[in-house]
Amino acid sequence: MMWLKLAWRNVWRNRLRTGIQSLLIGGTVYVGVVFHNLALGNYRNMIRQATRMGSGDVTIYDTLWFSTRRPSRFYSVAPLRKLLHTPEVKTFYERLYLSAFARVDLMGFPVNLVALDIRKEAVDHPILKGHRPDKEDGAILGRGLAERLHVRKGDRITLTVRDAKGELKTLSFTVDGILDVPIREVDCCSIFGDIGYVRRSLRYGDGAHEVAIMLKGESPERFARKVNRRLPPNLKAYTWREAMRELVSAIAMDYSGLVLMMLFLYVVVSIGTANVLFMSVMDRTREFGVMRAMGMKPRHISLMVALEGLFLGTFATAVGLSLALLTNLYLSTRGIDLKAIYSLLSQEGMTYGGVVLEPVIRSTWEWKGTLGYSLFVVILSLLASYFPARYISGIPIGEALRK
Amino acid sequence: MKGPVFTLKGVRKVFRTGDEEVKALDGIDLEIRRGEFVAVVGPSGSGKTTLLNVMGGIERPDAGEVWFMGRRIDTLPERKLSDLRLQSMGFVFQSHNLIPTLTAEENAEFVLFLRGVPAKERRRRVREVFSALGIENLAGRFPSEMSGGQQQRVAIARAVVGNPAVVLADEPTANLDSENTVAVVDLMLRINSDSGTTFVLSTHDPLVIERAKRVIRMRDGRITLRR
Repeated sequence: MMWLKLAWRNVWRNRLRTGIQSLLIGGTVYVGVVFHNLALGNYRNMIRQATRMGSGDVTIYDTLWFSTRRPSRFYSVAPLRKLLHTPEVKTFYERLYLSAFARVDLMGFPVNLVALDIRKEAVDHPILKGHRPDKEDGAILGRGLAERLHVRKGDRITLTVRDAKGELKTLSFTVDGILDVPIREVDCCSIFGDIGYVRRSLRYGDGAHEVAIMLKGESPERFARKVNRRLPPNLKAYTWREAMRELVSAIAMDYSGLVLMMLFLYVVVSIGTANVLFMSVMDRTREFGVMRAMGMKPRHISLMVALEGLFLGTFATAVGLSLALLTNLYLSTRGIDLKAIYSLLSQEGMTYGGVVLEPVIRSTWEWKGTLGYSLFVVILSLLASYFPARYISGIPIGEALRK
Repeated sequence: MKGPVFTLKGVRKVFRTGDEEVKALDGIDLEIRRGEFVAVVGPSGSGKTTLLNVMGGIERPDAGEVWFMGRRIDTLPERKLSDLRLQSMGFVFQSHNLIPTLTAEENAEFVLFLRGVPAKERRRRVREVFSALGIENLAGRFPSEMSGGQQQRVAIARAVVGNPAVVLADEPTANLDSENTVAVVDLMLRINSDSGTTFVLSTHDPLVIERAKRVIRMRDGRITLRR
């Protein structure tokens, strides 16, 4: 108890110095915790957007789909229905991806025909949200493509496309919606049509290239393992991490950058803490001499200086963490609206790792990292006391008393 | 006859600063017996403080032997010297004696705390000593809230609270006015006669010298007079 009392009071001997260093340490914890939760909130949002737009939490593909991308690698969905109607599954989306040729007058353009249940997906698909074509042959396309094809809402477009048997067929759509999409591949070259209409017209039966499954909260890895045990050998369930490696890499790279930056900041602040403790012990050289003369051992001095570092770090961390949690509460409920910044950088919006970003960033509550960052700072403060403690406990008593 | 507390044989100590050598102690032979009240006097730089530091194991002599209660201490490792100081010696310095972040009571308690005495027992013994020295009213004060004389009284209380065999006091009255000087020396004399604690103090204050039972005069690191 005496050590704790002594160390705590010593920390506050020079209030200005301790106050400034506490601000630095607390500020570092604040930045670490706020940015960590904000980044993870943003990543979660990106993953949510990406899974709704593409792979789902788990997606079933033909095993050769990724290597060939051939339209012939479709499969019948009917045998999978039993697997898809389980309590873990929130919903699932069946999709066909076809290469087509759009003809207008004498010009022709290669396009990607994405056949899906537009009405079902329009609920929360990041691009198709709110689009509900009135007609079965209604199509939605990017503005870039619409301009190239010189079509407007209500116009008819004709595509030449191979059917399920490989025969060339002509398929007509009525333009039902034109999208402003910041993803170049979608803007210039994609047409979204109703899967029922495409299946009937192109003899695909109940075929799909992709069944994207949204889960209620189950781990994608666990669910994929479970599904894979029951799938025929030509099909495989992929988690979103496996299906969207680019996004995973983009997030990993971004988060690594953040962690490196924080690490650098923490090291700089730790050097500052060591400096403050150095100044503090050097100011008290004679006092330590008196204590040693009384019989205090070098390990007691080290213990006292270590406790001072620990108290300084803990106090500052507590303050920084409290403020960070308050800020996080605001950011997780209200978020930061980046519309203005996005509009300065791009007319359509922002994308990252091939995903359309929502303009409002909300942070999340990730306790492992939050407490990890805080504890790390406390440990660094403790470590920062090592050299000052070693220095002061190594000064001969007689020399210390002459100071 | 009481046995010696300290025996110094041919003790030498030289301080080097650059090329310059200062002989702080130049062949000191000295014996101090139990219960003595000794004043080491002499001008500044005569070696008084170094003598006390060598006796207290704070400085190691370059040559000679230092014996404390029948045990040679100048060759002891630092850890054992710390234990020896903690268990058997009390120290009073000229100034900045007390730990500024502890109250008078806590300062006195600190030595007992280092010895591992339980908190309840520590407080009992400190109150006893404070009461005996008439400084109970200072118990809750921090050093910054006390005068120089009051601080030295607390420092003496801290030095004697653990019932050490010897108290080494380095110019304990140097910063005090004559009234406080007399009070502090009388206090030490009272402890010396009541408990038999040996006192060795360095001073050049006539008020202290005239009260000391034995005086050792030093000049240039040598003992020039024993009285």
